[in-house]
Amino acid sequence: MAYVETQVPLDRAESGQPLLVVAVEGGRQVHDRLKSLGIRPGVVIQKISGHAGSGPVVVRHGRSQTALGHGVAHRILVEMSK
Amino acid sequence: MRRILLMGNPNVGKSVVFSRLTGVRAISANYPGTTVEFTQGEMLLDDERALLIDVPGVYGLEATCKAEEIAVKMLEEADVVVDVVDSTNLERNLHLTLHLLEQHVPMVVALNIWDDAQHHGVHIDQGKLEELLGVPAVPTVAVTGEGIKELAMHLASAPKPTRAPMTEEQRWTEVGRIVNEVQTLTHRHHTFGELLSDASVRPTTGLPIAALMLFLSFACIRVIGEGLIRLIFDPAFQGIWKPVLVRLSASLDPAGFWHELFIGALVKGEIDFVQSFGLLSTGLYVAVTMVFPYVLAFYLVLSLLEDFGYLPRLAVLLDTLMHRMGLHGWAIIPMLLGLGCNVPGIMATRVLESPRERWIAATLVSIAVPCASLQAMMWGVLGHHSAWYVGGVYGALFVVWIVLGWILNVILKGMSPELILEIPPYRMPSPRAIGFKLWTRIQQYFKEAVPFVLLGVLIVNLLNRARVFDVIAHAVGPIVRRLFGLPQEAVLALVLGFLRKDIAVGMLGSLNLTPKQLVVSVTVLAMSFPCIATFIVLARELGIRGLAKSVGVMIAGSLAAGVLLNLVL
Repeated sequence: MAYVETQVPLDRAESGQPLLVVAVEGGRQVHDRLKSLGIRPGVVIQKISGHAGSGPVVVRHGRSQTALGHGVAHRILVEMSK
Repeated sequence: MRRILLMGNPNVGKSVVFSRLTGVRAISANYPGTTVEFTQGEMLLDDERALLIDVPGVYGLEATCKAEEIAVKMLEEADVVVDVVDSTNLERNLHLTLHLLEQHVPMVVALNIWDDAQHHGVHIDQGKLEELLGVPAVPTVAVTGEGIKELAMHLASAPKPTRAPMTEEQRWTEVGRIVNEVQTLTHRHHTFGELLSDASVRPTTGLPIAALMLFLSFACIRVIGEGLIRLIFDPAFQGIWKPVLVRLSASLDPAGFWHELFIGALVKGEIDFVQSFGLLSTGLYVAVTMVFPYVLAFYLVLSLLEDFGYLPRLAVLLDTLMHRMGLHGWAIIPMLLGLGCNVPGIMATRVLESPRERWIAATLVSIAVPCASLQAMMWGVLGHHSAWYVGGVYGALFVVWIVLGWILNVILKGMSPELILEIPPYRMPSPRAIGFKLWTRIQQYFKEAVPFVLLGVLIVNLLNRARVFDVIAHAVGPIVRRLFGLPQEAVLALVLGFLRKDIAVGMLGSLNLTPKQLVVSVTVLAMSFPCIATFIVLARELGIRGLAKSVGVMIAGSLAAGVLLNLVL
């Protein structure tokens, strides 16, 4: 795989790069909602924008775009290709 | 009667399909969660009347939120399910489709937004999909009506699926397999819409875009509203309606009860549409000429923003700010709807997850968000002094909105949930859908608001005649004068605000107040007791205890704001 072992929470990941979702931490409810939107381990997503400080993150996955609050983004662990 | 359920992910066009099949108008918009209550209508199935139910959008059947719980319950009594699917986003939508197939209820799939899929280079092998799913899959474009007939034809003979239940993981694998087999993507460049979409959620470009959008929206509402008043409604009232009233006035005893009730007091021997305060003079004039043009302009602009798909982007930009108020970005939806009328605004708080959030949002809407009627009257009464005074009231309410939200967030125990929101692509609003929506909202205004305006004028006249106002004014007047610096007659307007805010501002307008007194009184009026319709909805959505808490905050807040404004200005 082209991904080097550099796992970071989504809020700290770089914009524009393809990111592999490694794990979603936290409660079952958040987990379920993300999964039903199509964000689950093994899926490749792209960060479109992150807002400074504790702002939300917007990701593109497949043909959808989803906005994630900072707290949620922090619980999504992604792998970056460097 | 057989029950047909319309189900699908949020924002796939269920409500538009519903309108097409039943002819009943359901409000739609380009964002998830427009339908918070289920709508039902009738259609013919096999020459028999059947009930069609538009179920709020869900992503799954795990009952992780209120909407999903309702959906699962309704599914138990369904005879046929129409699964509406967004063809541009097959992968995400098919998860629910598979889950529905496992319920073994006869089903038809509507491959909606088919035109957009084609346009974006998404090709779906319809025959293959039907084969893999085991039920008919009909391409539809609900906004134009394409494919709706075929969809209706398939309903009567919808087959009962026989899929075995799967685990979540198996389902996703199956979705992947199906999508691989039926869908081919043609590569293409980013469209202008996509570039604009990305730009409007990035902070550096998004904030200027948001500022521009808000400015344009306000400018449009003002220009359209004022234009309609000046060019059509006011001339029509003066030219056509006034002569009728003059004749009526001449046939009645000018000092008598009926004259006072219908025409009101003559100002310098003439009927004055703002000050006379009769049912047929001021009552109709306020409802139709002063308020209606603004209501129309507001809903036109809001409908365009909704259907274009801008609002979810605004939610992203405001998320950080809204978190300080115990809410997340999506709470901007109840606030914006509240600017039209507080009633739908408060009902829209159902899109929020926790009771704490819903209470904060509903309380903020009822206290600090002025409805279109109130805003129209603000312009009508204060606008000719200077737009700055109107700006002053808006500014005061905005500060109250933020400060109150922040205080509530600090005081109330609990956390604000995080934003998880799907952002739909920008879509060109369809004139038909906009027309539909505008018509529905105009009807609501005339059915639900106008009678209250007239009732308000009636009550003012009756109480005035019974000298009840004098008693109230004498009792409360001194307090109001000391606290807010207002004459005691203003008390009546504040009391009347409980019935209708617009007519109450109209009363303030006839009192010859100074601009400063107007700013203070209009702000206090806007914040204090919501109109009776809002009050009822608050009670229904928050319960009696929630309402009581809300009212407590309201009284404290409007007192504080009135006193402060009186001191500062």
